[in-house]
Amino acid sequence: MATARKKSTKKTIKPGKDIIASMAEDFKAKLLKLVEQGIKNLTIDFKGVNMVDSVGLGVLIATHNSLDSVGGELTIKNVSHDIYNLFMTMRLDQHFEVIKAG
Amino acid sequence: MDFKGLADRLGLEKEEFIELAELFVETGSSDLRQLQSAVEQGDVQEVVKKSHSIKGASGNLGFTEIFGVAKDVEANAREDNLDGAVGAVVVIKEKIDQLAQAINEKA
Amino acid sequence: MNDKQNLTILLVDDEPVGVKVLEKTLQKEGYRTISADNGPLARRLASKKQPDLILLDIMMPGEDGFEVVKLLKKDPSTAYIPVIFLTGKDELASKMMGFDLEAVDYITKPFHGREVVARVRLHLKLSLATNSLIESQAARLRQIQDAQTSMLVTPEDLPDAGFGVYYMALLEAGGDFYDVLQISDDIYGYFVADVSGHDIATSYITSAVKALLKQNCIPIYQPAESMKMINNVLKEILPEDKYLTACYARLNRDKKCMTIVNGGHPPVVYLPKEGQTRLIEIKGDVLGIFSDVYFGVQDIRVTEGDRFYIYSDGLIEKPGQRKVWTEGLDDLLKACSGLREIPIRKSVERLKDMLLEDTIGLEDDIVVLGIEA
Repeated sequence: MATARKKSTKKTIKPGKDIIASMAEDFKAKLLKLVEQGIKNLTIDFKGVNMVDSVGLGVLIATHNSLDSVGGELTIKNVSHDIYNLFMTMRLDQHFEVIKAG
Repeated sequence: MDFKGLADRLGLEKEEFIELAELFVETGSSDLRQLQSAVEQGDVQEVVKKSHSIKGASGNLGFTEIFGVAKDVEANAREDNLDGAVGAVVVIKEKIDQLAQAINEKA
Repeated sequence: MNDKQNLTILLVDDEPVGVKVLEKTLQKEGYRTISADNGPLARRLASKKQPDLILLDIMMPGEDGFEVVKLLKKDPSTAYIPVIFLTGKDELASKMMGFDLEAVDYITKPFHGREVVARVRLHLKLSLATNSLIESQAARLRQIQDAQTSMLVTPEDLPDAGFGVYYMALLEAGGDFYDVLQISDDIYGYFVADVSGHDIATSYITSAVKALLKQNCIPIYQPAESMKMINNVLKEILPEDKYLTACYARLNRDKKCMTIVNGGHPPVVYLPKEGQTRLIEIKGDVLGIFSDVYFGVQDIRVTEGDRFYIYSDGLIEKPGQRKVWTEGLDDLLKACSGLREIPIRKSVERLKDMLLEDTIGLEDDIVVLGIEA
C-alpha cells in the first residue's frame, strides 16, 4: 500500500533468535541507532526468541531507559510463556509493556 | 494481669516485661515510702518529685491506674495542695502489692 | 572480618524503669546503650564515650535537661551529638519556650516503643548524613580498595551467624557475590547478588557492592531502604546495560524475625523446622539500572531450626538447555525438602550435588547460601 512517506517515530523489529550475550553487542548497536534516528515507540517482536540471558536483559532495559528519557516507550510482544514469567518475576512488566504470545 | 498484652504494647517479650515490672515494684515501693513520709511531713516539693517518679515509671509500663493516681497527686502538689494525697498513697500501695502478687504467680 | 556497625545511644533519666524500657527497646533494634541518672554524669559519659545520639529527660533533680543541653553544646567534644528530649505531656505545655534551639526533637512519656525507634532512626540518619558528607567520598574509595584484597566471608569467620555457603565461580572474575554481615549481637544480614555478564568489569562491581553493604546495612535503615541506597550508588557507577539481581535477608534472632528483600532475584526457599518447604516469592526490580525502584519485602516469624536457602540462578539453570531459570524451581523445592537432617554447612554442597550432576559444562557461577535460625 503506497502511503505518503512521513517520518514515523514508530518501529517494530524482529530479531528472530535468542537475545543472548553472543549477539548482544550488535543488537545493542542496532537499537541505539534507531533511538538516535528519532524512533520513540519501539516494539520488539519476540517470535522465535526462546531465551534471554542477563546480558540480553541488560540491553533491553538500557534501551527502555533511553526511550524513556526521550518520552518514548518500549513494547515487547509475542513473548513466550517462560520468558513472560521471567519478566514478571523481575518486575520488568512494570517498566515496559510486555505482551504474551497467542 | 495481662502481662502479654502489656508486653506487646511495648514490643517486648513477656519475660522481659515481667523483669521490668519487678524493677518497678522495687523502685516504686521505695519511691512510695518516701512519698508517704513526704506527705506526712507536708513536704510539697518532695511529694511532687516522688509522685512524678512513680507516675513516669508506671506510665512507661502501661500501669494506667497507678499512673492516673500518681498524676493527680503530682498535679495537686504543684499547686501546694496535698488533699487526697494520703488516700492516694494507700491506693498506690495496694496496686503495687497486687502487681507483686501477679508477678509471683507467673514466676 | 566484618565489623559490627554499632551505634551507641546515651540514655539520661533519673527514673530507672523508664531507662530500662528504653534500653530494651533500643537494644532489640541493634543499638548499644549507655545510661546516666543525672546531668553531670551524663555529660562526662557523652564526652568520654562519644555516643551517636542522646535521649535526655527534662525533669531531673539538680541539673535539669535544659541545663545539661546548654553545657553539652558548650563543650566541643559533645556539641554535635543530637539530643532528643524526653518529657511528660504536661511539662511540654509549660516548657515549650525552652525548646527552640537546644534539642532536635522530643518524645513524650509514656514511651511508645515504635515512636522511640522511629525518632531515633530519623535523627541518627540526619546526623550521619550531615556529618559524613565530606568524608564519604574518601571513605568509600578506601573501602573499595580494602574489599578488593579481602576474600569472601566463610562460616568460620562468623561462627554465630549460623550459615553455610557453596561458591563456585566460572571465571576468576566471579559475577556472583555473597556476603554475611554482623549488624549487631543478634542481627545478621545475608546477601546474595548476581551481576549480569561475566566480563572483567564484574570484579570491580562486587568489591563496590561489598563496601556498600557495609555502609548501608546498619540498624537505622530498614532492609528495603538499604537496598534502595545501594541501588542509587550502583546506578551511578555501573555501565548503562549492567545490573545485578540481589536478595538481602536480615535475621533478628532475638526478635525471631526474618526480613527478606528481593531485587529481581530467584525466590528464597524456606524450610521451616516443622512444616512444608516453600518458596518465598517476592517481586522486586533489579539493581543498578532503574532510577525509580521498588523492592518487595516480606517479614517472616521464625523459630529456631528454621532454614532459608538463597542461591543464584546458576544453581537451577540447566546447562546446555536453552531455558530460563524459572523452570527449575520445582526441582529445587524437592531437593531442599531432603536437606533437613544434614547440618547447615554441609547441606549447601549437597543441594548443589542434587541439582547439578557435574560441574563440567557449567555456564554460570553458583552460589548457595544456607541460613539456620
